[in-house]
Amino acid sequence: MTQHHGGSRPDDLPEILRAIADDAAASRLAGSAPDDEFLIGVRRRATAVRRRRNARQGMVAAVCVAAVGVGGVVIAQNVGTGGGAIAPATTSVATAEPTSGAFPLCGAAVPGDWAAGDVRLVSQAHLDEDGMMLSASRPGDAPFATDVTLSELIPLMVLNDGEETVTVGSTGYATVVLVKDGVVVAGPGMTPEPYTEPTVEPGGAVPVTATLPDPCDGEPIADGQYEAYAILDAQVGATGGEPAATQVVGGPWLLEVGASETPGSMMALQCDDEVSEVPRWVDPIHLDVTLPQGPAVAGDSRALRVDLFNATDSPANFAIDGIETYLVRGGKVVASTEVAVMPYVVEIPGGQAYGDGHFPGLPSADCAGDPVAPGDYSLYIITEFADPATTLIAGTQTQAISGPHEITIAGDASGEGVSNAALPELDPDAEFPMCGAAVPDEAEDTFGIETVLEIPGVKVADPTKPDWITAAGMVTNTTRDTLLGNSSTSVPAVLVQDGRVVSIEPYVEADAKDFSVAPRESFELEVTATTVHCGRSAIEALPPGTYEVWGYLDTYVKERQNASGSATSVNEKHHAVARLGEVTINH
Amino acid sequence: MTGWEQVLDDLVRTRRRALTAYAYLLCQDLREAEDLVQDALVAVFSRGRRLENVMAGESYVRKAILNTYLDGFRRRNRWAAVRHLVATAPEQPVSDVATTDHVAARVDAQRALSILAPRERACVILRFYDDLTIPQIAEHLSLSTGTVKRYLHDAVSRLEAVLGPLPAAHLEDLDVLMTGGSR
Repeated sequence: MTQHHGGSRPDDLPEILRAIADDAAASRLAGSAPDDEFLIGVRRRATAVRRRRNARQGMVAAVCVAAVGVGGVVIAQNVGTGGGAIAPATTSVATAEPTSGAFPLCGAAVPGDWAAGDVRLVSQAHLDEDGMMLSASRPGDAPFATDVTLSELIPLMVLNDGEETVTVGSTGYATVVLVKDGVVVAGPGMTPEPYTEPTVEPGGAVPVTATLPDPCDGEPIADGQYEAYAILDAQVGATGGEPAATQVVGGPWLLEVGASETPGSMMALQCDDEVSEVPRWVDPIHLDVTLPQGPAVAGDSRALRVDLFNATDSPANFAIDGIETYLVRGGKVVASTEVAVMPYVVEIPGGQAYGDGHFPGLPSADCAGDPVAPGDYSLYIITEFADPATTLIAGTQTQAISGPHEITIAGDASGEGVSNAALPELDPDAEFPMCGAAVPDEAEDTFGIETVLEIPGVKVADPTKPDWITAAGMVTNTTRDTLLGNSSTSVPAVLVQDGRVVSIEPYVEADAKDFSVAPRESFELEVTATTVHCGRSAIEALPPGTYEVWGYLDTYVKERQNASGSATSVNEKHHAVARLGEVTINH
Repeated sequence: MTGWEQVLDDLVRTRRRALTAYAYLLCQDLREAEDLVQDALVAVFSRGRRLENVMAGESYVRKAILNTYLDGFRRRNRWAAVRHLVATAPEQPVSDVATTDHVAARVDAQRALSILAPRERACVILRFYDDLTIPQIAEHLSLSTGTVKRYLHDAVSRLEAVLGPLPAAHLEDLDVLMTGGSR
């Protein structure tokens, strides 16, 4: 189900796209790093690549000479995590230098009159014994354990503790800085530029996102205890009134950076918990759970669909923190998984479900860390809600629970078989190598890819981090002529199960390669495929199992030389498709 | 300053925001868009290719942005796994002429774009933002025209599921070159 906003509807896609692009171009982040700084980074990287390329070209020439000398071809294999790795993205972030500027810039002291007003930033970083959220830590509070380097920052909300409804217009990103001994040691980070203007009723709250502080000295933030201060530049005003530029502030909160003890699981249940201990909350939000047809595959992130249904007659706003999935046997939790989501507020009309279904997934491992054993389980889904209008002020959350549902986990964790239910269906309209397309008959081609792959296996430890598969493939001239021409340096390949494509097409930026190959001789190209499931909107790996690898390649022949040595200029395109081998994916 | 450095300098100073906007349409994330632009600039200007001017450079960089985006699923792995669970941040144009409907339409469109597969989204952007014809898109992405039509058909269907009817985006109209200025 989808929701449509009222009023004008976007029926002109180009106009909408242009508007989105214009917003992005006008944002602060688009051009956040000064051009000079940005240019320095690009020049440095480009120059380094140029130098490496020049050096590599020299090496390639030397290797070619050596290969001719021994008269043989070595088939190399490069499988798994190492091959085709992409360098991590770099972001141009200005390093915060110590400064004598005003708070919250690096090096500045915290103002003596720092105080939060009625509209203030509050955090769940510290809850008192009654579960009340605090706008600041108090003497004796334990620090909130965090790891700033991993962006695990404190959750923040704008709380309206006043008596009238206000609008809070802002980017939705609050600046968080870290203070030690009264001085800022990690200053404001980058902030994107979306603008929101939510209405906050008295006692209500809306979430905002904390930005990651930039260490003032450019080094990773040292472990230790800090105070965190948060500032949200906002336009605050009574509904319908004229807003005023205001800094909504909160803190200080005590943070323990790099603490070995993390905030801990916020899941409602732990391993071995009795399900009877779960408090049942049924109104006003129901969870409609759609179960898989037949046995499910452990770890399948799309096996379950959860829809949030407002059972009341009036619209309801709720903040959602996470969706938890539990497998229960013998009345006890034996496996669980959680999809942690950033707190956000959704409005659900009365008597309706929220537009977007959620896919919390099934656990892949049990409480002991072993693969979930095949068999029957009771399934529980728990979603934590907070009503921003009422509940958050008390700092407590409510839980909507759905279950028990009977579910069967299929017994294919060994990877020998793959549940067809977890793979895309055969699509008769799709053209190879599109998702779900049938593989073509292996027609004889005068210029084909020969089967040379013996890929032992690919270990995909984290299904959300699929991998590349690369290996060497051989292209063989099956004609009686010597052929001269060119092709791509890389053979794209897809994974196939039961005759249809199940992985996405790899996009390989390859150079052209010239060849001159005698009859029955071959030349080597790199074969590239991915383990990315093509039937999912999210990026995730294919389930464990054995898959066929099918490659496809266009070659362009420019000249033919027959046995007598006479040459003919031609312009031929040969499209080859071939089953190259098999690969086993293990999780 | 060498020739390529001069073109790079001019390109960044005059077209960086436009390039970032283009990348944003593809990846829907401003930070990632900045990364995409930087990676694309590095890819283009590290090849020793002779680029006469900013216009030629921008053309290469736009293509590199597209390629990098389509190739760069790794960097999005975690976010992609959870993004369907996260509400799209309501964004408003900085322009003060924005209306509630205007914003709602845009948020809908962004949400709709986010559900498209990378190659589908690339086809949509090339078609409806870059105003390319089907054959031009096919050449850009090294696909057959039939495959491009299929991607566009699927993408438009999925967009309509969120946005409602998009009469100007249907296949029968896809071969008509749409007009538009340089962005």
